[in-house]
Amino acid sequence: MYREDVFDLIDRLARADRRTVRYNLLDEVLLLDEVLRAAGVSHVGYVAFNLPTRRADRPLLSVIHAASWRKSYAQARRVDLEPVLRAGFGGITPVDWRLLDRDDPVVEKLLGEVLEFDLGANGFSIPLRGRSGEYGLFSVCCAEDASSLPPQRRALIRRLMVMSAIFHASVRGALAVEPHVEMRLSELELACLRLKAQGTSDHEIGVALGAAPTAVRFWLETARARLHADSVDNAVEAARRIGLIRVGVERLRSGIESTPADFSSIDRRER
Amino acid sequence: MIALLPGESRALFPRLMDEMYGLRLAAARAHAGRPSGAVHPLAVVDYFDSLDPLYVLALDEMECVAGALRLLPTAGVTMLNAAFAGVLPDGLRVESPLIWEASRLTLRTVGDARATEAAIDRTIGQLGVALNAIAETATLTHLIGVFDRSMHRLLSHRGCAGETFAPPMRIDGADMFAVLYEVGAAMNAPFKSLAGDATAPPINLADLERLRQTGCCR
Repeated sequence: MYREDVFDLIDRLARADRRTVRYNLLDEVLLLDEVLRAAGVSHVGYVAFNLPTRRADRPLLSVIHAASWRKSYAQARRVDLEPVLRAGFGGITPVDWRLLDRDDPVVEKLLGEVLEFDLGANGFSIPLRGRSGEYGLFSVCCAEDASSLPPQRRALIRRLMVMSAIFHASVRGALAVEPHVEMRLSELELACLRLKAQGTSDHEIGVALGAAPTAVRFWLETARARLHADSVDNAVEAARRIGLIRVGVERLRSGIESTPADFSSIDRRER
Repeated sequence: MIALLPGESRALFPRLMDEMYGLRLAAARAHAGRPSGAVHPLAVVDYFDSLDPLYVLALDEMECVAGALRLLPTAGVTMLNAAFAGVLPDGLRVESPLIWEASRLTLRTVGDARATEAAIDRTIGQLGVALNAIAETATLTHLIGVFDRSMHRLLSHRGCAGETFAPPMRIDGADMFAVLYEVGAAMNAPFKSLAGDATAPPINLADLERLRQTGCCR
């Protein structure tokens, strides 16, 4: 599937049923485009099944490659064979295509076709799981030289992990049968974001909240994921933009006051 | 040796799965203080095993399972969100692609002559080092351990208990603890010191089976 088609799909999903689409759905998804362009990604594939959708007859959403490819996939029963799909759906860890066994005839054939269609010699597949028990696989192709250094590849995998989850959440939001739920963060997450917005270090936030820096970074990460932001900084910005936190009129103390009373009741004797 | 077994490939390795379930059963019987037979064997397999987790197995020199746990992403269905929902802050799910749950940690400790203190140390160390390595490969930020009291105590005594972040919950007669690990050197260090030299890159059993099927490995 071509990169532009991903957004066209989401746009159509959003227009199809605005009642189930969150207010900033498209903004969230459009973040993906920047990430993919910056990483030199040429193509995107997304497959999900067991999605909670009103369309009981269409539990599988498959948007792999172009229409001609989809036909080819169906005719050749490629879904049963493709190692990326097998490894992706069966596992939970990201699949770096460079680490696939190239002696496997199926892998050899697949990568040969990928090169033949000029889709990029390498790629990554990110397995997705959802709260309704759905499974998904988000794959990208990129040129041989894109992110060839380990730190770059690691950074790209991290970004793909984050962005694929946002993408999946957006599709889920557009298709889901559940009623719209207001964005809600825990008091701990809000306190961490508030203090982060004031430039407070993780260690200082921990001191203020009576928690270890490890826990602070944990609550910042869960807040980031809940806000569908691609970084903690952007989560702070998103929380400020939609009015979950106010910065500038609050003092450091406000973060402390918002700590739930039961946080200190955690049984620390077990440490 | 550490072996990784994706849930969807479990049927290919019945002996290893049987040994893992055997460890769970022995632990359930011992910790419940009940005679053999009072805990039904099926009780050791739960709903979360049906969600295709990634099993991390510690194998001894004879390639028998000495310890095991399973990993699930918190973006999906997890024990933490199902069992601890009432005690998580404001009742909100823990849900992030960069945070996974490790649960059903089980070790060969009860009534087994092979379970010496040194062997238990080594197994815990190997599992912890492997967990950190898997998490780093997947670029995770944190792991949440959901362990029963006996496993939590074993880890605590060895300085590997992680950060408690929710009050203990009583589930099916067992006290369960949710603990937090931040992926990286700080998590790795105490496990590495327990494992000593007995660490090696994990082997993915599903890959191994594919190699066997395609004739590239005998």
